[in-house]
Amino acid sequence: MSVDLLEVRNLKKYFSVHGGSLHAVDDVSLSIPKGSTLGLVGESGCGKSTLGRVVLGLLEATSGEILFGGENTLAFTKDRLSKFHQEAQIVFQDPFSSLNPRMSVYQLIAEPLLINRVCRGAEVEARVKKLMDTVGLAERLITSFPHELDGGRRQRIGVARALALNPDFIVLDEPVSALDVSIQAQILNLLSDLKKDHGYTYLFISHNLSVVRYVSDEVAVMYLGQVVEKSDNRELFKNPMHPYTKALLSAVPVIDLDRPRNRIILEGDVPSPIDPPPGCRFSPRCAAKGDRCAMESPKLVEVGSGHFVACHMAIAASCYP
Amino acid sequence: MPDLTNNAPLLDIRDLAVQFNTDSGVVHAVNGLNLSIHRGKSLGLVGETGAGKTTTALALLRLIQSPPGEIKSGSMFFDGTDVLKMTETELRSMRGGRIAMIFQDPMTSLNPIMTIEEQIVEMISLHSGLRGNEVTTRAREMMTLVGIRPERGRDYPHQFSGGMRQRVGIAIALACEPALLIADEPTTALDVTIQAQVVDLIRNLQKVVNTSLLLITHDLGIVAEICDDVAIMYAGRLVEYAPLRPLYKRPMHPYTQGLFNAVPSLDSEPGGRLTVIQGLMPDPTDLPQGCGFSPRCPAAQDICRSVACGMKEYEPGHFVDCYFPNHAWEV
Repeated sequence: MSVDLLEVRNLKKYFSVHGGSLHAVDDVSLSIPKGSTLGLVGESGCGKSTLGRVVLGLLEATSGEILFGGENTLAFTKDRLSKFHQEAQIVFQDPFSSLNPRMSVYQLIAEPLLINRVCRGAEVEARVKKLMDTVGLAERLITSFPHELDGGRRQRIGVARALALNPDFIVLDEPVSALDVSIQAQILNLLSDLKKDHGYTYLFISHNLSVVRYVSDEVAVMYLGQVVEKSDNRELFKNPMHPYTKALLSAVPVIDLDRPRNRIILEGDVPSPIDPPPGCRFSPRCAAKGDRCAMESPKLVEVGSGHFVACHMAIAASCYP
Repeated sequence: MPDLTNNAPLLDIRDLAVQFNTDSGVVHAVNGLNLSIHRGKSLGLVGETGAGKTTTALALLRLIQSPPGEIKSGSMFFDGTDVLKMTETELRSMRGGRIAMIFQDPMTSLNPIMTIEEQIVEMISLHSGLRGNEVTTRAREMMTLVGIRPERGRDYPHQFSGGMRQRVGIAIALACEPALLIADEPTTALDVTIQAQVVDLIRNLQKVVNTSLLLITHDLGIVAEICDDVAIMYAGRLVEYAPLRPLYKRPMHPYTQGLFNAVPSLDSEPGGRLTVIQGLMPDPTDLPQGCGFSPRCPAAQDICRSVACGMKEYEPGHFVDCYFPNHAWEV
């Protein structure tokens, strides 16, 4: 068994909002083995980005535990925390708004090096050039500003900034959603090459199942703050068990005209995450719901080797010991 | 009853060129575009950011802001009338009436200080002969048709979710039974499961209302679900045009093939490599000589860099703007 670099136990993040408490992340437990990629899928508002931010300490957890390399990050001292912030990095979705428009490529990539006093003087420039080479940015762009570059190149700057401090763990929050297909493919290839060469561990957050299929080792599906299913990549796509995962998979538009389609169109919208009612959160939209579903919230239970699902019906139907 | 005039396309765009005169030079957004849509048919116009898809739609509605924009040349016949020769009054009655549009972002395309019923009613009173109670009745019918309970008509846009707002947009667009519906990235801002609902709705309503559809999108998957024909656009021109199945089964233009290869699929092998199209879209202020795709094309020869090929019909109904289309390639 490989060692888990990150382990999240019963993590909760509630925001207090007008009208109650918004359960953005509600009792999530996950782990990512060192050197592997966990794809976190879900629709907008399901809490996937909040989870990514809580894990990095950008947002404070309401309760739960986050273990990074076996250490509880929530108990970190100030010094240990600042080291953790070098070890764990994030790449944001929108390369158009996440870069300071008044800083050049050099300044943007050098910023993390200077803030953390990693190196000085001529060494900074050498490091910046090396990072630009790693992420595939031509050296002549070193004096360019973000507005002069296309989305793909801007996202490469975002990646270079994340890599600058030699992290072990990177949260990729929808890193290709704002990009065109042909550029998206370039960035996905870059991320997978980097992982191969440097052994990074990724938490890959996306709403796009095809992209997640392509990059992940394991996949977790979130719905309204909770993980409803998680499993090995191949197994999840071959044998989805949760009705929400099934609907999500069936709704993905595909370009293969001969792929058999069995579309499940969900009724209604995602309900409000403010003080959600007890019971399964998906049950109001679920076609397979039983009496128990509205009363009791299902726990994530292993129904196959490494395949976990939180659905009363799927659990009852499984014969896994 | 079908009659002879139905054989003429509903929309026929010939040699359209649109440019924007900016400080950094002349942006050639659309360069010699030919496009036609037949009655009741749906055409998917596919391309990446900056290909000129939206500019084409805006030009058709004569909504290109001038200056800096300018329709440089070409003709656009809609139902036999030249749109370029229409007066402002004729244009106003055409926009929203005979040609309706669904916009990408349902968060910003509705008026935030009008109830949704008022917004649907506004459209109906402007473009149909209905008066008084008939208008309200029609508005409520439209709401039911798109799956919104009529009693929600008194609510404002901010009280609806993204998917529901897009339904309102669709209700407004279809309220006057337009001959042509232009949907500009109608599902891009929506989540997958909501996207499926909206795609389903557009597909069904297109049949019910019998309108033609111009679907503008970058998503080849959505086109596969709705469209009869597909046009692939690159750097302001069409590069390939064919009915859905031949184009998806045997794309011939190197750019189209690159696009298909770059899309990750649900069946792809985890951890594999995607084939990328090298390089970037050309700068629209400085388009390359000859074929616009030649600087990025793996098959480009000298002739491609001097004179563009122009559309050629390589197979019946399958047009490709390329000297060396790849017949051997299959999805």
